[in-house]
Amino acid sequence: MGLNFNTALSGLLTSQKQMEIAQNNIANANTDGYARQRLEVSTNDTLVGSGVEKEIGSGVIANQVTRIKDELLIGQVRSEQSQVGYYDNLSKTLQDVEVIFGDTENGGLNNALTGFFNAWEEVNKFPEEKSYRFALVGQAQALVNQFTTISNQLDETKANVDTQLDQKLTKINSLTEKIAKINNKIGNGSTDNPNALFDERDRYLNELSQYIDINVQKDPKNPNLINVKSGGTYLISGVNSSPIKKMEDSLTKEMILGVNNVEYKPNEGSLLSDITLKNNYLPRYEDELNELATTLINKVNSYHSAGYGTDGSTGNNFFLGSDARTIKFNSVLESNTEKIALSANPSSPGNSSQGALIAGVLDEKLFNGGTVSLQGFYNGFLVDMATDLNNANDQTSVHENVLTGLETTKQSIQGVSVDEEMTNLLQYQQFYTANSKMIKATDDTIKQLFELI
Amino acid sequence: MRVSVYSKFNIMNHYSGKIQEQLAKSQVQLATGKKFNYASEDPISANQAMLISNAQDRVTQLQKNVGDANSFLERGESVLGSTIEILQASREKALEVSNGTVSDQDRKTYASIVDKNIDQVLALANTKYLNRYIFSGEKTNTEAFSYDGTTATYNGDTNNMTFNVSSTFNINISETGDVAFQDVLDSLIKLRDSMATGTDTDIQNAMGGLDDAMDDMIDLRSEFGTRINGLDTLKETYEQSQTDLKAKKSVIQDADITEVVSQLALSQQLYQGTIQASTKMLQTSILNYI
Repeated sequence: MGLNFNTALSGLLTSQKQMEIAQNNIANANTDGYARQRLEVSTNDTLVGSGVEKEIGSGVIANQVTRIKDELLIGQVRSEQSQVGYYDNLSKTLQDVEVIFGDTENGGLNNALTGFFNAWEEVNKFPEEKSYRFALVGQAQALVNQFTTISNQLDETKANVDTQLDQKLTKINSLTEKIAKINNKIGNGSTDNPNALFDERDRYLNELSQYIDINVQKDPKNPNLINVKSGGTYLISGVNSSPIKKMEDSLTKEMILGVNNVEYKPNEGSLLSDITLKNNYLPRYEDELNELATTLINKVNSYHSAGYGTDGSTGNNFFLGSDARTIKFNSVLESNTEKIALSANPSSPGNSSQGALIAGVLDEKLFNGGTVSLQGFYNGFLVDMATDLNNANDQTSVHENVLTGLETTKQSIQGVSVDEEMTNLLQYQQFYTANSKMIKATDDTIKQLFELI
Repeated sequence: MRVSVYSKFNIMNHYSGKIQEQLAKSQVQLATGKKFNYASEDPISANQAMLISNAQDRVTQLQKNVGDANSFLERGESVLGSTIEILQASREKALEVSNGTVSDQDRKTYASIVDKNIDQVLALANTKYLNRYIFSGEKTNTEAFSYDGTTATYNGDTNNMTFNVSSTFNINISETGDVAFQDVLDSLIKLRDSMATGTDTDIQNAMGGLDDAMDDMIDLRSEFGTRINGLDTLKETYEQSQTDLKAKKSVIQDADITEVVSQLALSQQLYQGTIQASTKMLQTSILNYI
């Protein structure tokens, strides 16, 4: 082929492309999910001429722009993100619940229970004194108030979880739809390596992995497309996405999730923790609180209705209602404190044997088949709850550390190092200069040839 | 390993975040003086602390009950003491009369003194303390005795009022009037009547009856004293358990201030170090040389 401009030109153009890529890499240094790009080059094997000419070759060819990334690591990061999503979300809601029940020193219900039973101790010593009865009424109302406040706040927490769940479903469904659309664009696209679309899709997958566990597979028909499986169910299949919807379990009446009317159970992610909170943690706490309230109501009432007030009245219940939500102090007793029945017989105003039985309810073994006292049951409940939260916090921390490690490794492969790009840029500039000088040299040579004519 | 820009910032964020968490924790510990403020921070210790709190509440209530029982018993004891003094005064008068050294006029005067003494003892038997008749058993709003000049009638019941002073036993805070005062009043009435109109033998007999009643009352008074002593012992026990419980609780939940302060200093240094190292690292860039 001999002396020509084309060989140098191919170098010139290649260096231009490399500079463009470096530019793009630097521009995206802080873009989440961006995988740095590299120009794959090879020698031009378009063989022209003959003999020695043929052996020299004719320049450089820019083959394609590849994204540098490690799919295995990306998968691990996603799975770890699902774990962090699950525990972080769990611990946030459990923290709300812990605040409802108060800190260790000023625990609302604990103090109210102690105050209530101590008021009984006091009134038992002075059963004929109105002022002690008023004090008891005050403590009883404070206790009732604690139960109702906690019930209401648990209801609020449940409502919050429901709202979060709905928002997450909307977000997840919009993400799967977006990913399916990108699949569609890639499938229709003219270029066979649409890196920007891949980056965008990876970003959405990353986001999705906080909510649910995802298993990303290459579509068997077109390896550029992906299918996404979560909890054994395909959410994205090529260009189609299937939204997750809420359903009701026909047997348990619990809320479950479904895809195309088949039950869908996520294995990880913050969506799962919302469901677990809704179907497991919160009802469990509520049940225990209700067991406490119901036992308290029944036991106090059974002793109280058997006793006599100073006016000889008997058969009055102390509490009305049946659980933590409905418990009320009997208003008849509030306006007629003489009807508070401390005495075991109608004509002994100084007797408080029934009152003593009620004061003893705090220590009476009424729970777990008569092995645990009311106070013991409540303490046990608090510790269970605290352990749930403690565990969630620990797990969040563990998985966050693992995630940071994996993320760092992932970034060391696909992340942009500005120093590296700048160094490369210097190299590409030199490369560009060298090639342009080459063109000049060729031009000079040819000019000299022309001067001969 | 390649270090990307993203990692540089991310690592700094992650670690400075961790150190800040530790700093905040030390700060809260210093401010509250406690190792943990929510049970979830340390469920096992929190459980122990709760058990101790419950025990403290219980002991505090029992201490109150002991105090109240004590004040009733002390009041009762002093009433019994006053009664015994009155009985002794009556006995002295009766002794003078029985010696036959007093005139008939004086006998009447002495009898009327004993009559006054009966009123005084009645008033003592009907003592009201903290708005309650303390010798009427559980009929606390009924006067213990009514008196028509010849007979003292007990109006209370035979149930003793008790206070709960320990998890295992209740203490009588008084004694019912029929046990404490009936014999005393009856024998005083008999003495007065015999002093006014009876023979020396009648007076001797009545004095014998009074002596018996007085002995019983002295016994009762010392029994009150024994109960008060018992309460004192309980009181000391409870004070001791409060001190023990407080110490135990302190071990479980109080932050070791020295440890927290040095932890805080360490975290601060680490934090400063991390920031300085990061800033230095972020400053060094090839960009400075191009």
